[in-house]
Amino acid sequence: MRIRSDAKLVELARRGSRDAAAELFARHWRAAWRAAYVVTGRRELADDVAQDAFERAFAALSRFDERRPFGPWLHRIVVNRCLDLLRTERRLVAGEAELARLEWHDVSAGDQELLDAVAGLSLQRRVVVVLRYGLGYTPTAIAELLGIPTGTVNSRLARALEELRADYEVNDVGRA
Amino acid sequence: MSAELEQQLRAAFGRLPKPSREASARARSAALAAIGPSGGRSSSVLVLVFVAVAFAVGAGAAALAATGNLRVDIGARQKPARPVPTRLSVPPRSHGLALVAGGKLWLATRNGLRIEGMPVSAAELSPRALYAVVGLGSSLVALAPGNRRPWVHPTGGRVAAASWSPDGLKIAYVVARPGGYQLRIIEGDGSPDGLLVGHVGAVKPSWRPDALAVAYVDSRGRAAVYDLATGKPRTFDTQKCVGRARAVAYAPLGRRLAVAGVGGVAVIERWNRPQACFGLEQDLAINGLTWVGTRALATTDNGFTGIGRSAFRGYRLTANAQLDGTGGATTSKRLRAVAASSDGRPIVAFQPAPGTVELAIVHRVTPASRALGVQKALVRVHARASAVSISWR
Repeated sequence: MRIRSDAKLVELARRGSRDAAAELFARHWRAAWRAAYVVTGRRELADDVAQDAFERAFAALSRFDERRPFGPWLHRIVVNRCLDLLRTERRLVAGEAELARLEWHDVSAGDQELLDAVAGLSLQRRVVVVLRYGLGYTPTAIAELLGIPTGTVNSRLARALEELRADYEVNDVGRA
Repeated sequence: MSAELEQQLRAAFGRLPKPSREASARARSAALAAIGPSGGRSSSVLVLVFVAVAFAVGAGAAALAATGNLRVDIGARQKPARPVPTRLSVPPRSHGLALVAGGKLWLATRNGLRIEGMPVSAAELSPRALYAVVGLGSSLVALAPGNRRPWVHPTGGRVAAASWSPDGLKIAYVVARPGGYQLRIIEGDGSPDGLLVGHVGAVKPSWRPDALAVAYVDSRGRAAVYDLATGKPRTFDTQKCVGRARAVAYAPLGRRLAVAGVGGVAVIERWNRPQACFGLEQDLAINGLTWVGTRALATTDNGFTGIGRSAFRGYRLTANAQLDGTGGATTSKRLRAVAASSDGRPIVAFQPAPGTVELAIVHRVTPASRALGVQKALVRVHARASAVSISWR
């Protein structure tokens, strides 16, 4: 079976092909959901955010510049929705501890520790870490996706790794 | 060490669990619905609305000016707002804002519609604030910027509340008729309307985001939904939790319906399952309800008897479908209404002194003092603080 490119699927979906849209969904849903899961730390929020991002993306296909890749555009929507949601919650909810309550399910203990540390990063750093190591974007691509300079991405990544490393070292001492 | 950590991160992300089948199926269905045939219809009907409104232009301005205490500036695009206390400005990242207080309207949109002090019974902005619809005397009147006239639809009674559908094609409104309030629906271009429900409460209806259902409060104070696809209403027994319902609001994705009343707040998530309930030990004068996320709600009220402070309260729907009170904040200024922008920023109307009403975006709930922090007021108007409502797009 011939594999159609995202661009071709977008073009067909814009003309109303539900099959093409369904294929686009199948191709990108899991990655979008996982990105939302790591950024929000909560399964239910990830469900909502990833679904909302797809709805927005599909509703705006007519405005999508088809010369550009679909994935980064979708991931940008996912990230922005996560940020909107978390910032609103943070502004409204009194206790930060309430917000920090994470719900990692079906994750091994080792991974859980690492994901907890990622979740402890500031939102800005967490997002670049997820885009870099979760979705495999290069710093240049992240910069383009987030609309910030590449230097800023590199510095956020470096500081995030530094913070994670420090957190890990502390954990190692704790385990010893 | 850095390379090792990077490898660990990649591996951990690679081992993350999958989304559940249920969530995947729901998202797929919702995403595919978003590219459905409605897109073309929406734009064509909106063009028709635009043409119809444009056609009606000349008479409207004069008619509106003749209504008395009214000032309408139509035309030039509004400059990015410098907050002026007595002149409403459009907040950043939004298309328009309308405040009704004491039977008067203050409204400003990015595309140049500005109204100050117009006597109305209700007002609502269309999606993206391209138009506004107001209850004026015994009519429903649509307003548009530029040199265009509005349409006027006689309603046979005072319009108590109006709600524009998310697709911009329809307006649901509650009108006082002999024998009680009716829930009616009219096309966005002002074409003849129809009756949905004969006896309802005077509460603002709320549209499901797909514009195929309208939530309202029935004449017995219960939350109900009218399904436009089947033409049938469905009532929910919310009285046990909230008492007489005072507000209904569909969640941003339309999967949940929030109901607020004097006795608490309820969220209906699955139509055939018990609702999540947050009951209050003492009745509250809740006067506002809004979603500030897909799982977070906020209400405003005038506090418990004897406390003398208004409260902005937050609630969150937990993973096991319970409704948690996530705290909130109180203020000595009397809160009168709450609304939220499409990205979940809440805005409140409050009464800083008798005879004045202010509108401000909620900035922060300070954990230690539980004091409500708001940004600089967007407008201060001289009006009675009764029947206050906000429309923010």
